[in-house]
Amino acid sequence: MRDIAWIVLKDLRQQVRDRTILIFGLIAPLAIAAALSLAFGNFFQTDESVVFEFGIANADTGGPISEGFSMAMGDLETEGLIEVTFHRNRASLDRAVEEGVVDAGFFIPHGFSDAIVEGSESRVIVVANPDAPVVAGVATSIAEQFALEIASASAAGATVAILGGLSPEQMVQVGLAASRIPPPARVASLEAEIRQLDGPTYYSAGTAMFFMVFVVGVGILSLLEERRRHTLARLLSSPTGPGRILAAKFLLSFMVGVGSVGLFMLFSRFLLGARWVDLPVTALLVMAAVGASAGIVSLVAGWARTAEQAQNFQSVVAVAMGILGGTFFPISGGDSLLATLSLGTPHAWFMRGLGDLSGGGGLAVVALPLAVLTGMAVVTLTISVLGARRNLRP
Amino acid sequence: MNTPLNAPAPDPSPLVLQVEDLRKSYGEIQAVKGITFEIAPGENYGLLGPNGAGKTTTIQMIAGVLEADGGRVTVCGGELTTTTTSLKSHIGWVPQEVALYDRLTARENLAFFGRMQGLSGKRLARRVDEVLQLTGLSDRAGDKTIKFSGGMRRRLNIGIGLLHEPDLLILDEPTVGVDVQSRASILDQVAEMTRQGMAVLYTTHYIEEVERLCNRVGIIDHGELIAEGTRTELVRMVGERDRVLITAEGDLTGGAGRIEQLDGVHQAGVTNEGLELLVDDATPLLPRIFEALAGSGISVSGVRVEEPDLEAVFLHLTGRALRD
Repeated sequence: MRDIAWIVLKDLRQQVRDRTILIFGLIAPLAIAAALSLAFGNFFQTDESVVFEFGIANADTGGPISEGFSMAMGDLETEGLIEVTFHRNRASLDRAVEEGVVDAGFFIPHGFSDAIVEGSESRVIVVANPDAPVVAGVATSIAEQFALEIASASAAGATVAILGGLSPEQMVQVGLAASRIPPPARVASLEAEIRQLDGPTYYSAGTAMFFMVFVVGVGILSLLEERRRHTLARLLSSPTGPGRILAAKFLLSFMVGVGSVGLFMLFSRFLLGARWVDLPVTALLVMAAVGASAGIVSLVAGWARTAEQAQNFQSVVAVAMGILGGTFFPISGGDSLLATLSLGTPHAWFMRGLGDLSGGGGLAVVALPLAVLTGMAVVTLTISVLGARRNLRP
Repeated sequence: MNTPLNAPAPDPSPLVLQVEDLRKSYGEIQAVKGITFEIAPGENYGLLGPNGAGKTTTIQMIAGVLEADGGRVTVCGGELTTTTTSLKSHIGWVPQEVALYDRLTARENLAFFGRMQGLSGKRLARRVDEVLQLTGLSDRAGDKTIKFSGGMRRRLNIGIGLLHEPDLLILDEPTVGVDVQSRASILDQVAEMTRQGMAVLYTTHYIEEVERLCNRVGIIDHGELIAEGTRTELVRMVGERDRVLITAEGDLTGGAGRIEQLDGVHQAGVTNEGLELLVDDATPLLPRIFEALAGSGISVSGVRVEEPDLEAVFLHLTGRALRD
């Protein structure tokens, strides 16, 4: 075991002297997270709870369904989850969004309620600022949720109509009433969105995860580098067995990954105002995410013949997983292809875990992300260890 | 030699290394085709062959770095494979390429590889200092090796192989790309190791190094050990002859005729400066040659004897020069 520790220490000393790991593990992510947070998030305002401001322009004045929507939004405002302002028309709403007076807006077109009652298609239009993707996602989610509520209300109304022979208007009113009975579905969903990470924390977590993938390849890369520099052959000629050399390299990856994310979280707490809650559970998420990322990177980089080739592979994997995993821009939920693909990345599960944890609940609420990340780590690390053995030759 | 830590006690067998029928192929190419030889303590064995002859592959299998396809390597009585880690501390391997960590200092490199060999505490500190002294790098011990010259790096490369005082030191072309001064220093170090009783396996394609250092020589070509023995044995084995060049004046033609009658003299000819003879062994023949010259009234002003070297042996055995 001492051999393993000495190899890890030697590699760490070299990495620190090389400074690359410091740049990728701390300086670059801090700079990027600060830039992203400044551009898209509520920079340095995290001691206040996140309350989005939504504008509503209702051109369907007097329509029962559009009024129901306004009432529901008003309920949420009363609960302190959002702030709502009303606008005379679409142009006023667009201007308010554009000027940042509100974070996003909803435009309800004329004849909306009638169209719903008649069973024809009509839409609530979400007006969002492309520079604020998080709030745009929340607004879209509210609109989608409202559409689901209308659908379920219509179904409930239809059922009542069959039983009691109500008119279409009565049917919608009953449906709307029915939709208000179980508000937890709507409010809980909205809460889940709002309880997502605030700007600085979101971008800090995403950036930490993105750059962590660049540093967790250090183990497999240093193995290839040792081979190139012939020091691996020298190690193999010593009583230190090949298995221990490999163990040291993977331990190095894990330590560097956890260390860089941990250090970054510490710095981001004070420099960027990121809020990390429930540190023991967050630490578990970090370790599982590092394990999964190290496994994936080692698996891919392990196919390389040279350290340079492995670095290229690692970069491709890091960027692809970073984008797909929603580290810079949220991948909208639902069953879109992108959302489905994102579930193949540790990033998505890590971000989801942190988001779930931000609303409290401890280990129980992150059980699924934690289990998925751990599973990814076990599978990919096992395969990559088996693959890496072929590099243990002079 | 000190017994390395965690190493089994050496076998009472006098041999440090026994290599039997060692084989290795890379795809269709047979790099090593059944090599057999052995080395005793204090012996310096030279493995001589051109580039691509299979020397490094053989060495890597002996060092336990490369898995052999067949055959056996026995070190200090124990069979060595890539996985028999405890036996490896009997071996100090100096690879052909400089194998150092550039961003570590000379002292840190030595300490790290010393630890990998099982050294620790005071013994490690003492050996690091001794090796720094031996390699002449004490005053640069705190410098990163990336700042070292090629010669200094080579010396440190060898020093790492000596750290744990192995029973067998394996040197794979240690002087390739080294300046004359460093080369002389390296050869002196190796000679000193042998004097101290360490067995040395030395591979090179420089004949003068083998002739200077090695007690016995194995000539390897195309993955096969084609001849083995002391220098004299090898020369005799192939029937090569000494050349005697005599600077003289007088009746050179008559003198050449008389000398040619002597046993052991195969050829005697007249040159611009005197005579040139081809003989079996010049040393015992020289007095009789001088007698014959004196009898012919020839005055001799100089004599030079050229013994056949291993280059000639290699040429004889393979039909081509060593550095072709």
